[in-house]
Amino acid sequence: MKLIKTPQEIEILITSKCNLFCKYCSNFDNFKNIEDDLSTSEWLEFFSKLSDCAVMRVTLSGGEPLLRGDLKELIQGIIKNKMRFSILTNGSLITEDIAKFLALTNRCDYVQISIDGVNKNMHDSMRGEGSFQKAIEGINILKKYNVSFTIRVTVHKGNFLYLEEIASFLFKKLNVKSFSINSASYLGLCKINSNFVCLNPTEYSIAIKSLLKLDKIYPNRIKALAGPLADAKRWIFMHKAYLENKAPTGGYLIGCKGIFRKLAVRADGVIIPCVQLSHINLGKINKDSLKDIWNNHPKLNEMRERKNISLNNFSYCRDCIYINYCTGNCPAIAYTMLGDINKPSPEGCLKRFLEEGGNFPDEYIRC
Amino acid sequence: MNTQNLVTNPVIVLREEFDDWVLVFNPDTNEIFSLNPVGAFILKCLDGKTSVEEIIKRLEETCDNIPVDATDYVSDFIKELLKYGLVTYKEN
Repeated sequence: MKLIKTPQEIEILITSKCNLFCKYCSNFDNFKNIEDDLSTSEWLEFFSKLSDCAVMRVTLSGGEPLLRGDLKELIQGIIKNKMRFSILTNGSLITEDIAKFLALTNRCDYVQISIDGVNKNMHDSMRGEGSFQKAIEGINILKKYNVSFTIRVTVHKGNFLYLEEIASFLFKKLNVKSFSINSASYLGLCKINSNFVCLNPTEYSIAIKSLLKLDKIYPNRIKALAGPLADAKRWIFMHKAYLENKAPTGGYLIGCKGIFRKLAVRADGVIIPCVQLSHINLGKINKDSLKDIWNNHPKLNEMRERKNISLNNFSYCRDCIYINYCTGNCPAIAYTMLGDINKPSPEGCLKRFLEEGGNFPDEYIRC
Repeated sequence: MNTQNLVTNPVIVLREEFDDWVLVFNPDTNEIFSLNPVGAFILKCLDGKTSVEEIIKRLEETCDNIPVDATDYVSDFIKELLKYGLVTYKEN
């Protein structure tokens, strides 16, 4: 695979501060030892450097990006430097003023708001008192000003039995066109709270069954890059490929393609490969050359070479019937679970899922 | 075609990714176009001063087998660039 000359996209953790304390915050580890956010001028200088690299899109997340009092100024800096942007937010701080501003920029790809339930009990249990109502109010304000938004649902122990109700609520009551779904992964605060947040294989199987059914009822309206629906689709593909003895599509650590297209920046200005790999320090904004980091940083090049590591190197994988169709999954979760990005991640492993009692509906695996 | 009043739209972003192909991104419309090396070369020539004839002369310096009716092809291509907002009329 040829490497493009500069990254196309950058995700920026624009602040380490948040007004909520979600029990499965995957970004929580990114804010250790960060006391102060960078100043407006430091970010604006960085945006001009992104323009020099012809970066097209910036995602602003955090923390809660709407806590930054200078958010409008930062967005104007993004626009001035010929980029588009999106915002990942809990939705609780959206005001008429900011929605109107976002609409007028004409450069906002979307605002992503987290909704994890159909009522405050289901949502607030993991995200904090009052957060559901405020998020719904935020969505209504975005709708009023015609700002493009998406919903992210995180599946956890408190909502996996209610996925059909959640889909119905989002599609029929909130009238959203689509939503994306993932599940609480072994990252950030979830590492501490995993026992009452993360699904066990039996619960994961129930979530898979519900989501595959919903995916038939609402075709192409539930998006998933990770979590039960994404795993289910990948696993069904792997199982069918195995049964039909298809040509290999995996067998190496190829589970992440992000580092061939984008980078991320922590709230303290440290450039990192991905928000989930915040411990890998590639350099500092406005000090180190982004182009040089992208093309030459040894850590980044090492990560890109993961694609040459065969799953046959790992004893657990060697006798797996799915090895030729497996990608080794997310390197960040491999790191948090095993301390090494150059190993396959146990999360997302079909063999392990089945051995631990997981299953998916027969109708989806018949050939 | 008079190209001496045409310039690349100042808002667009040219991404030279590899093999001299170029992605042209318009952040206002969110459209992305992919140009082959010849298309990218022509787009970059549009500086408000260069004529079609001059563009073809420059192409001949770097490419073999330029067709005799290249003027028509280049003019049609520039009209397409104009249609999609990738070039614009120069402000006086």
